[in-house]
Amino acid sequence: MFNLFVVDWIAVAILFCIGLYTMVAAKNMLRILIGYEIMTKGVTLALITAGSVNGKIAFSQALAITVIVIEVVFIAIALAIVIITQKTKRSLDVRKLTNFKG
Amino acid sequence: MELHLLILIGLLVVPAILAAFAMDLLRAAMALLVSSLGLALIMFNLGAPLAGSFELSVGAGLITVLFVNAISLTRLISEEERLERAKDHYQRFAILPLLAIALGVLMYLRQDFWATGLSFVKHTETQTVGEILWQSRGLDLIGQIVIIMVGVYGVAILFRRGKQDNV
Repeated sequence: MFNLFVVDWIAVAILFCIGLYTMVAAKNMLRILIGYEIMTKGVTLALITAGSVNGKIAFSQALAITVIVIEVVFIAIALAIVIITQKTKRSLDVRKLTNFKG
Repeated sequence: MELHLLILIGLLVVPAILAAFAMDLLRAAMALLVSSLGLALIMFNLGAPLAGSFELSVGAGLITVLFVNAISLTRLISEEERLERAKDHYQRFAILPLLAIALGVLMYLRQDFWATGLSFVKHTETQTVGEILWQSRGLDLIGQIVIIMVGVYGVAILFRRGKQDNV
């Protein structure tokens, strides 16, 4: 029969691998951020599952809330950079972002 | 284990695969929204309602709004360019569903290898989430406030620079 811990950790591994693959394989900056989002979902699920199995669910909730706050701030700044890059370079292709002056 | 938790995990994983696989970015953002919804429901199911409601409001709500906003501000591409990109995209991401299924099946079949050695001590918690955040993890809270302020300042600076560059 299925076990909560096993099934949840399989989901965590799948989410993390999908996110990582998307971040590596994608050329579009928005798609790279979608990969990051998928990875973060895996991490949040891992925290909550670990807390549920150990009986420390309140502690894991506190950590999950911290992860979600960091995630949304990162996404907000990254999307602002994406919009400005789109305005200046007229493209979201990461391969075209190699000739910046700095 | 109950069937409904399996369905919820499906609701989390399948839209996540679709979000990575979809060519259309708006569809990918919507799939991400459904995936966040699945994660929030799993959190409620595992006894984490605060994190679940936070994920629902921030992960499913705010982040989707930010993504849709960013997508709406990007340039439209021509039909020929879209077809060319779609071919390249599906070639690169065709492996993704297979990778997810293979990983899931492999991990399920070899769970004796990675899951049996792990032992868990069932703790009894005395503190609530609020007490943990304000007392034992108070530093995290200060970090969160600093990160939010840095985020707001960063976005404001970036958009101001973007406006100056446009003028």
